[in-house]
Amino acid sequence: MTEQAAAAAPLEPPEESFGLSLEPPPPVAAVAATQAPALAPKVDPEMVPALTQKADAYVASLMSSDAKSPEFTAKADSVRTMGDQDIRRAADVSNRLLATPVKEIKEGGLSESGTVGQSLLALRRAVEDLDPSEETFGRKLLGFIPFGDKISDYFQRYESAQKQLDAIIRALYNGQDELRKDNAALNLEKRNLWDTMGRLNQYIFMAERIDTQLSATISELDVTDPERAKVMREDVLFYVRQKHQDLLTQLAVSIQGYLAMDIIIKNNLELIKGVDRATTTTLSALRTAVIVAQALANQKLVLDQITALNTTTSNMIVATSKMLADNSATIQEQAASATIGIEQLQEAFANIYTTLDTISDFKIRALDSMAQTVGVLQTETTKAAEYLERSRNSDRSELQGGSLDIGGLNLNNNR
Amino acid sequence: MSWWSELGRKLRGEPEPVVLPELPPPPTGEEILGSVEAVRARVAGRVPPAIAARVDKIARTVAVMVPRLDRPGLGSQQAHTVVSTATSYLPEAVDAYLRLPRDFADRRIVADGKTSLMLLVDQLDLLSATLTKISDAVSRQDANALIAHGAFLEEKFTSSSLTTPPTEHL
Repeated sequence: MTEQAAAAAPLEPPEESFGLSLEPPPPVAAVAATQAPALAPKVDPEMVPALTQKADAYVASLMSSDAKSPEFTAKADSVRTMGDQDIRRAADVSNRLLATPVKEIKEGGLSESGTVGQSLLALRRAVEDLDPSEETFGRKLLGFIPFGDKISDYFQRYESAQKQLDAIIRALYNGQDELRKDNAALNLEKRNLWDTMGRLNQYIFMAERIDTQLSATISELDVTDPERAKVMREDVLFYVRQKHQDLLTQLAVSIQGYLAMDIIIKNNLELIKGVDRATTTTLSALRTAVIVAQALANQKLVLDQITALNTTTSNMIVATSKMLADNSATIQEQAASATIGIEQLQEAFANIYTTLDTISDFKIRALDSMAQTVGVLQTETTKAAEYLERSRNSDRSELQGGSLDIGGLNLNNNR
Repeated sequence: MSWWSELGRKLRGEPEPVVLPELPPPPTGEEILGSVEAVRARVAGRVPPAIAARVDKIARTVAVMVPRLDRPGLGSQQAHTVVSTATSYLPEAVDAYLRLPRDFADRRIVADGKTSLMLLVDQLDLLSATLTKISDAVSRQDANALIAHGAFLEEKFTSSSLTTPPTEHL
């Protein structure tokens, strides 16, 4: 590398603008409760026999006890409290989640008040001040190199702006760090929610199994013992179906939340990409400015804080410029007619503007998509709240699920 | 902005100027070192030796790096990493660990079969390795400057191999 560096051409061309495209993910559509089990983590085939057995044993024990005995009532209650802990856990996550996109819209990377928003705003301002295509540095001037003083004045501005630019770039890096931290936290939340959804799906599986078994038994009882059939239908089957619906609803909301988290993560990744591009285009423009200043005005810009980042290149420039200065006027002419000129500088600035515009455009679209997602999530969470209320009211669930709790069964239960 | 230029702006129908955010000044070398020292003081006597040793190593690397931070330039990712390690990554990792009850942190497995203590060791090792890599890169850049300078001197003072030695006239 060092060999190459020493042998490389002293000037590096401005970076090409490979079209930066930032695509906000589409908003999350409402997930119907009926399609939820298919979307959620599948029930592990290894667990199916255990779950089936538990459900069947439950139905069998119901059948064996007297419909008027306290034992029967306790068993019927098991259905009402089945999976309540997981429903509540899932609901807590979705409520927290609902707060996340709202916070994201208000103060996250997409907002104007967040670190990234503020730094990008400052960057645009700073870049506008230095813009080589502005009136202060009009085309007319370019034809008259002898008015070198004005060019010198122009490039002098870079030196006074470097502290500010440095602060902006630092702030942008910090903003990127924040976005990455948010994503790490969201990914952890996603993993927890995935486990909870898996458990909800297991309860749904059991509820369905109990429903089928119970319905079959009840239709037999209709013939042999209509009284018992009625009790079974009203005191057990009704609650099994209600619980099934609750579980489905909560699962649907959880899926919704899971997808919303994905959206925030993707938005953050896009934003990180955008900020990356904003810093590289800015730094590239500054490097170009250093080279152009040297070529046009024989002016060595002292942008230590910024240009040193590509030390090898800038060292070469400095070394070359020293050689140029030491040598005859003919070489200076060569420098002036070097391939890098004011056009390249203007292009470098155009790249920054394009990047900043792309980010702004992305933010507008992403906010829009996020707002829709929040809307859907809000509606679904409100719907689920009603079911949740029911699970809060069922008193026993506070301490333990009934006999249908799958805690002991869950093979993947590592949390 | 004076009322006069404000009036001019209104007359020209230009939009309200955007108030630029105040960006915090860069942390000084002292602040950077101070932050690492504070972490060292916080862990003293409260963590297993494995952690204290790793924190010490990072602190030493940071101390070596701080005077050289101008080399990669403050606008560089590498400099940002060094500064953030001292002011944010290291303190946050250590503080998150210190917040946990000792017994829980050192014995209870929390993720991927690892205890919080093991996780912290991994994080500190990663930070330390990254800092060492950056320190090497900066040194290499400094060496490059020397090589480039050598190339310059050689080019300037070595005469062409085709130059014939001046014939001495007797």
